[in-house]
Amino acid sequence: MKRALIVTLACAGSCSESPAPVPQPVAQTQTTRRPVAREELAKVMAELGAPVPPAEIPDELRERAQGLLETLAGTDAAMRRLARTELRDLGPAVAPLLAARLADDAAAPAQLEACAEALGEFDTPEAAEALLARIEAMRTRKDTAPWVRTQCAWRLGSGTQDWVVPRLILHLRYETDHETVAWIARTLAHFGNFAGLDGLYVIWRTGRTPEMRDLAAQTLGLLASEHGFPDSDALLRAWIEGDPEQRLHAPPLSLLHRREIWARIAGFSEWQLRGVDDARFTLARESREATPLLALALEDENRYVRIHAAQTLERLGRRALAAGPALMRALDDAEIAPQAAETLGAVGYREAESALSARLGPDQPIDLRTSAARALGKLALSSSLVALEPWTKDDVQLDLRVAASCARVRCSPADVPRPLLESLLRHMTSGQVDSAEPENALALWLAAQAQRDQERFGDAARRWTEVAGDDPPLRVGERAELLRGLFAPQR
Amino acid sequence: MNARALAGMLVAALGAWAVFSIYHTPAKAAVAVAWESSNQCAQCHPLPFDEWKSSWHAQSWTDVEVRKQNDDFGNSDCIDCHAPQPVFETGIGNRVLPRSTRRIEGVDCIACHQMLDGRMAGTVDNPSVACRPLAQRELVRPEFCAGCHNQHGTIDQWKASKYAQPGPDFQDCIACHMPYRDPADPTKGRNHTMHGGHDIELVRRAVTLEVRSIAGAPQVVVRNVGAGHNFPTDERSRASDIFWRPLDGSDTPQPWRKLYRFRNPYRFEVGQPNTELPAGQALELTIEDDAARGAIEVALFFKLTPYYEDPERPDPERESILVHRVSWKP
Repeated sequence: MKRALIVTLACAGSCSESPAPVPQPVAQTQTTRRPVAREELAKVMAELGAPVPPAEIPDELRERAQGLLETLAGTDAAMRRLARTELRDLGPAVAPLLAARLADDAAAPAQLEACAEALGEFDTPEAAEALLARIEAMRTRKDTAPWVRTQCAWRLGSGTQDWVVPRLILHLRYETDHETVAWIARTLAHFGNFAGLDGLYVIWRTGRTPEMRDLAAQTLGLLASEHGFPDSDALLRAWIEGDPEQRLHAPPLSLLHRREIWARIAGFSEWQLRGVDDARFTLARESREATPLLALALEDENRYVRIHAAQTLERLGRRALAAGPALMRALDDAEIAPQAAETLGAVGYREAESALSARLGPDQPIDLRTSAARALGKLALSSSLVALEPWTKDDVQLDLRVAASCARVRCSPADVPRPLLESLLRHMTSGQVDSAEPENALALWLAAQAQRDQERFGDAARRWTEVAGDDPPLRVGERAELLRGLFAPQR
Repeated sequence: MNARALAGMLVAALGAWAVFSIYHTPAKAAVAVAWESSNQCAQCHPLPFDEWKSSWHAQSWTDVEVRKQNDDFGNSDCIDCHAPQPVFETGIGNRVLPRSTRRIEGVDCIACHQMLDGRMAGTVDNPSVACRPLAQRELVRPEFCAGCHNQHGTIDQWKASKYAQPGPDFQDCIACHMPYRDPADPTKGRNHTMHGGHDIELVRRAVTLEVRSIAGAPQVVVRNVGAGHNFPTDERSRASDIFWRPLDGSDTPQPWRKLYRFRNPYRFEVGQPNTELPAGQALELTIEDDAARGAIEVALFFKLTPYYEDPERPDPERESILVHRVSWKP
């Protein structure tokens, strides 16, 4: 009986058609992760020790400082000069009093100036905080005295409080006073950060008045000469390209600066994008000294921390070259692998070429394959041509095909086969893929041709640049027309 | 009942199950398909696909205004919401993350429907068709939209409104933004155009404009009667302006005069408060101007981009869309 039952059940089981296996979820990395950002932040905080509450200002000192501030509001210039010096000599103990006066919109200009000067001289975190707070106040209320912000920015640049760098970088996003922009740029440079150059270039090119443009040009020239570069273009190039010749002054980060960076990295896990956007913006403009911290964050247990760290490294570009090995490991982290691949390209980590080529294969997820192709394009090594070629064919998934074709152009723009160019031209206007990718690749090809054969391609390359404008469909249409003319059989 | 009878019943039950297993042919499970583009959905779902294709979700990557504002996505912060990974992958209620392929499809079928195992979330279970849909209640939850649309507080605004409270007033996101194609027959599904601020009729239903006399002076009243969130909401680029002008009977109307703006400003617009009108609330403004002692015309306009070409002399009729217009006489 029992045997019959087993046979019957076995028969029933084997006769029922088993459903097709359900595809497994995307493989997730199973390594044990830890809250790297929070732990590192805690470590830095522990090293800094518990914050010490500001000491009470002795009554006598307070009275003296207040008396000096009143003198500063008076009309006697000689007395004001004396009061200013004396105030500075009172030392950091009076910083809270000066900070309060600096924040007071009703204070007399001489008082504000003297407070900024003395706080700059004190060179303590509390004094720097007061100067920073005065600069940042314009983001929450109308500031009718931008010159005070200029003063504060200047004074911050004479001290050693490098932790102000991230907050000054973020402030540049909002600052409307060109003099303050110039002084923030100088202060950043004092701390080995050249993120202020961008703003100076914008003012130099588009400033509303000749004075504004002149000031920007002078500051650019000054920064270049101060840092041993023949001109500001060379300085900017060194900054963007990660300073391969190690000519830029890059002091190590202070503990307080590390705290600022780790706090922002930990904030990557926030739900609201506003803070995350600010953190990405700020950290992407840090010096290469921030790279090891961001590379460490690629191991965080929180995927938002990992992916935003990878994005920030991508935006740091060549300054993040040292993150190469950590990014290579991140290629095995399914949640951030595509971003890690693109970042490897952006930072120019050539050692990643074979790992990226391996990620082009059909056994990999399509987004990783596409990102790997883009990364190879950014590395622009002619040795990648063989790996890319198979994925430029017509039967390949569209995103991958376009990415591989564009990468193919980037790796060797001088000798791109005509069918590939025509295919990219079609993709540029097809509406099936983002037009920017083929458009940029074709721009590169045209520039390479113009360099090689000025007579034949020079005019087209010039016209390509002239067809600018902020209406992408119009621009793309005109550029496509230009290329069609070039590709048409010569009569 | 003795043991023999119990064993007999067990054997009978197993036998019945065996017979059922032999003769019952389950629906053949479809082979898993790799979803690489939302265009693949069009073959079986042409109606929702066409609706989506005409929607602003489909244009979130290509819209010229969007691209102008983010420097052709040079500001890559915008990619997160304009070309998001599938919501089921990042997790419902979680912040979305950017994807690196098919960005041109914007907020597409795959972004909302693809589940972790490659199946598609829908309203029915059917393992035998290509997308192997699974009925998922999560699709209709406001939290599903929150990853992007609560970045500016829209879902929180809804939660604070009467529409989020259980009862007769309850209405969720899809009640207004994805209504049934045929209200009399829900089996025909929901409209995938997901209309919002670009649909001026929807905007008109969201607010009312009234002008009444208060001690002989005109008092303008704007009420948020239909939006389950602030008016306007979500996009900082959206604005709605109240303008008025005297009606002096001449053929040439006088220029519009600005009275009030509903808008949540950008961060860099220092000193400007958030003046959006919360759900169910009203704004009352009396026009004190001497020119408003006679007949006047008041109009509410809606703008998809916040700035006028000449802020000193705005031309709302040319630069924005008329929502309501009311005439008033003392």
